Amino acid sequence: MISPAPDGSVCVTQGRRLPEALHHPFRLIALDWEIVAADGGDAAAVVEQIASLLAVGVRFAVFTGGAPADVVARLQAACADALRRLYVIAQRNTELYGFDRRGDPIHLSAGHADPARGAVGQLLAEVISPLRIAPHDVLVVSGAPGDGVGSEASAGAALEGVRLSLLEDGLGGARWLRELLALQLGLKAELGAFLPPRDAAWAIEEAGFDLAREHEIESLLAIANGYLGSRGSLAEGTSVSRPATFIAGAFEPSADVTRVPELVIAPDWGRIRFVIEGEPFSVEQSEVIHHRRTLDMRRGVLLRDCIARGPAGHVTHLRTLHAASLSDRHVLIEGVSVSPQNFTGAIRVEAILSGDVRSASGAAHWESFTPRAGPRSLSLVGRTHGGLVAAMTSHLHEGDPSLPPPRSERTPGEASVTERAEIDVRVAQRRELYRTVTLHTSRDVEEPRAAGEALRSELEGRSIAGVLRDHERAWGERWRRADIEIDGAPKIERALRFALYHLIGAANPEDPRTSIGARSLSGEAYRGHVFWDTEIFMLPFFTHCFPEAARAMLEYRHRTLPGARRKAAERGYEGALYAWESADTGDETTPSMVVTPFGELMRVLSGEQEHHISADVAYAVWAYLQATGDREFARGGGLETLVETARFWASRVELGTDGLAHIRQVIGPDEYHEQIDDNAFTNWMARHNLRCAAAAVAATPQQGARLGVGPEESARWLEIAGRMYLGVDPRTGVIEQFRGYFGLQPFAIADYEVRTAPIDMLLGRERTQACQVVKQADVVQLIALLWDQVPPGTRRDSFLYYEPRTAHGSSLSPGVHAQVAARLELHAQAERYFDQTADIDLGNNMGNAAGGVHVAGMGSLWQAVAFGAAGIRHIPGDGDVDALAIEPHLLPGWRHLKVPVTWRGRALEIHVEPGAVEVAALEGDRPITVRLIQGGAAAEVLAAPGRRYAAKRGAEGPRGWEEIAS
Amino acid sequence: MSHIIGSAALAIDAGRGTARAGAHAEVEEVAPESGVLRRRVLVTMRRDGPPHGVIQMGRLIARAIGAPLHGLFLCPTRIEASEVAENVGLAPEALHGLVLDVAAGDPGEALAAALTTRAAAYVIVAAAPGGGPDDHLGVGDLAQRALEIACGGVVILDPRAGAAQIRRILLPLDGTPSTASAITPAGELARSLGAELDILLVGEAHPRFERERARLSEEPGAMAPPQYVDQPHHEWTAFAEEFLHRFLGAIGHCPPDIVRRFFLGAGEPGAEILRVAAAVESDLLVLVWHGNLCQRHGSVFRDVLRGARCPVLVLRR
Repeated sequence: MISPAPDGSVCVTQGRRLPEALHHPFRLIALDWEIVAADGGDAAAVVEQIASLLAVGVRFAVFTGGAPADVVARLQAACADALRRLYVIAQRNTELYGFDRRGDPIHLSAGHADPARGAVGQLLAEVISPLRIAPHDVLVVSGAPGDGVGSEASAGAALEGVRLSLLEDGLGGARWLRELLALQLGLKAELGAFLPPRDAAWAIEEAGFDLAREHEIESLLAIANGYLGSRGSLAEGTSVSRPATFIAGAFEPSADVTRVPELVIAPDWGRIRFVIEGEPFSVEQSEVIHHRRTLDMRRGVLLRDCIARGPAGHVTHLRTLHAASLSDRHVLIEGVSVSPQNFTGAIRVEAILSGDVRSASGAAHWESFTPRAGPRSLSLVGRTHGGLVAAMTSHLHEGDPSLPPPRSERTPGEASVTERAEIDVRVAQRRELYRTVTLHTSRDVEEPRAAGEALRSELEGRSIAGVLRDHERAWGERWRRADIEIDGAPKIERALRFALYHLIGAANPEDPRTSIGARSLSGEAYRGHVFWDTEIFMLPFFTHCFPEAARAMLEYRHRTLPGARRKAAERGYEGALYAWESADTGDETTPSMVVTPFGELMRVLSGEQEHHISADVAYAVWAYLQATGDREFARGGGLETLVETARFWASRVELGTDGLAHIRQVIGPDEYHEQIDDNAFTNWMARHNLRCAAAAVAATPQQGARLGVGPEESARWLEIAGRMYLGVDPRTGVIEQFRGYFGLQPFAIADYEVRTAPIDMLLGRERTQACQVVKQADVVQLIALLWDQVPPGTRRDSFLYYEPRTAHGSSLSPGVHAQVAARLELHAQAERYFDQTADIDLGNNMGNAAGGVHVAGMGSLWQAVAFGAAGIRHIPGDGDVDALAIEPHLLPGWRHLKVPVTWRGRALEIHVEPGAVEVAALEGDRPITVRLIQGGAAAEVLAAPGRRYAAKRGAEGPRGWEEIAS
Repeated sequence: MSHIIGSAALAIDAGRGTARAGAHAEVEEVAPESGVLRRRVLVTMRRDGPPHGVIQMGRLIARAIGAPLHGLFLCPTRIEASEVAENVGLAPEALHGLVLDVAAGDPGEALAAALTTRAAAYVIVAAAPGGGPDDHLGVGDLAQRALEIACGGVVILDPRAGAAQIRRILLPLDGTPSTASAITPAGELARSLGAELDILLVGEAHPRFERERARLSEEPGAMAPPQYVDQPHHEWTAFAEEFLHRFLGAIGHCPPDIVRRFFLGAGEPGAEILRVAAAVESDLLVLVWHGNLCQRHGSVFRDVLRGARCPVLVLRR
């Protein structure tokens, strides 16, 4: 392999093949326009190649010494669809141009605050760095040493990457450039499914191997399809690997003292060993020359690219691919590509199904296994102590169907079964093997083994390309309905994509028996338990992008009503009090005691007192019904959930001597303060719950009557709602978080700004409870959820009061602060909280994500963008129930925001720009009212399916809608 | 005043066990953290009282790690080995099993010379608070000198306090890989002694304008308690597990067969270390010292050294 010179440069001279280093899929290509311009008639061919590479995700930075007009005109015409990824650096590194979504150039450095750093510096700061484009993914092409890109001192110094000098004269240089670009375009055919995403905004990448960070990397790179989820562990394993595959909704008791249910760890399906010329491969034992793992979020595949030298000197290029099929949730895909770099010989691949798995609590969930080695495949059937049966099959085969199958032997062990395939390899030649694995359980089918064998047999008859294509199409469809684009905030856009990747992978619209746990299917922390996280933080995304998934999650709450009723009855209340931590039955699974790391035995009160969970579920049901108009659910499970939760509140409130309804002895979202009275969030949400239930019954009185709700009961709910104590300070308008909060010791988080431990740990429990420190959004949370019920002045004053007191000791907090700050147009705070939310997992190198990703925080990021920056909302009490309101609050620097939403059966694409809004009604069978709000003014349009409308926003308000060309 | 130890001092080549004079660069090449490789345990004795405590501690450690126990008597003028027992106020039988050496002259220099001649895995020194103006650590001139020069572990203890048994060893960490360098020797010592290892992670907070005080956490590979504790009963368990995995397994290579406990400390690190040591009745505290006193770590080190009620094993970084 030819590598770049130590300074990163690669020289190409005529008559030589392009160096191996250029066979790398670059993500940013910087090139000197002079090479293209000198090519006379063939320049068009180069421009076409640039357009093709832009279309597959590559970014281009085109340098020109003079004015940009000619370059812009040439590229603009050819690259229309992918101009977002094109940048022009002109006037000797002083001007940077990008393109808006319409393909018009934007002078990005105009009025820029820091002209000293030059256009390349700006590109680095605003594109390359936020997207984490690594230097080895950047190719800098200049015509000759001293020319073009290389000659621009500041550009050359700032843009780090593989540098390529085309030593020939202009014409020859252009010929080489065409070859180079052709090579880059040809990588798709060369690497096939193993090609990592060219667009850095769709890639999460981890280079090297770090023992200490391995657990969090496994979480970040997890693959899932809502039915199962697998951590992104290295296939061959390491001394620290913690591979785990979770089956959504399948629980077994933990092995610790609490014995609470925890997610079942399925048999390990992805384990593969490589024995290269008799030497086992391992990143810890082999000399690793290159190692990179890439999550391709667009395709939903995890890729690995590794070059390693074994003890005897054999250098092998190894690539792997892992996917949990989204088109058939029972299918898992594993791909292996091996390419010996300096030898011809034999490589043994051992594909294993292993029942040797334990949970983090130490539990061995499986009672027995029946491994079986068939003539063409493997199977492993296991039974848990609780009686769940799971069957896995595994089939290893050649990637190229024209090649004979590998020489294989299959041997069962006690709790595992292994297939050993010997393949002959030639130097520099790639061989691909694929493995399809199936998983069925007795939760899905009566005969898991038979179902697995049938599916395996069907898969054997299909090409792996077809199986992967179906999976990628399924992801493509999800992204079509959900992907958000933000021009001007690439870091947030990428973080949001990462968030949506994990949210999409966590949901299964086909299974109403499950919901999403706090760490989804990416890790064992929180044991797969379902909290308010799901309804308040994740569900809005699903409601607005995949209502069928939202419905399934709400069905889970309906199905677990019996558990919620039991919990309410045990405490002497009526109706349904949902479990603070819910697993499969809906019974409370929060442990009552825990030994803290401080060595103290501590009572856990959240399961006893965090009653707002019932109102949170009801809120989500109501929001879902408003957004979808799902009549069946409104008359069935949704109605019953609203009724039962309202009944709980009706029995839970106490009428005080002041004539008001109080809710005493609770914990609000701010869990630093326990056993408090009249927590504002709880009271306001309970009031909303009562009113929604009454409204739902009024809309479907017959169904209400079937649930035993008469007019008196409904009226009582409304009366209680009307009497609810709300805690608004009449003097300041600020909502008091709970009774007595204002009297606590003052606290300012700025005094503890730089800390290496959570604030409650530093202050101690007693002091924490005695002061005004707030763990997470509480009043701010209720403002976000009940925006239209809170007076405008109170929203702002309360935010400004609580924000300096909030420690953000929960991952749920920054996102809602970003949302509310954006809506209040507090830009500095909004930017900070957007950044903080984006960094919860992606910025983490402290092990926070080791137990799984913070999927609710991810949902809050979507809300911050959709409800905060784009300002999408439903206005309660609107006579036109179909109407959707847009009240944009773009952050500074955000040039364009595209948000797709599904609203009452219509698919809309909303574009927000600083001075304009555009709405495309993509799908649906009838028009929908879209209302643009700005200040106190509004403008409406009845958007017909298949049409596109735009409205300008002036200083005085919206200027009215116009239909525009689609 | 800062003490940059070793810049012109002596260093021991861990691999060969030979002494050599070293320039600063050479000193830095030596990995002093693995004190267990130097197979001698040395107790220091002076005329200022019967050295029961140091001998008892020396015996415990020497027996545990299977090392010879040496007693170094430091005195102004040279005496015979046979006179040591009398000079320290003990019966000759009380020194049974000790290889006795005598060094005359300035105690600190004599100790340095002795360690140069033959390295020690552990040096046991009695604290003597109230030393001279150079006693910046508050443990006496000799103990301070031992800390400055020793490449292995230095155990400092109150000469009146005995340690019949070491059952619990407390190792405070600040989440940085540099303090984690103590995990291997502390773990190995715990295994040798049959003791349990308590890990204490301490954290701290400062206002924004004192940002520089919290720089410790910026060391590459550092791991602080999680910023987000959505549900403490889940989060702390997961964090403790991950921390132990990362620091005791992947970074520290702590022997897996010893009993380990994990504690989180709240509040001022120095006070918290002393509080936890008292609360769990630690028999030995293990500290890592970077060799200076001017930074945050240095002041915590000094506070703990001065305030500890149990013997303190100091490992140099």
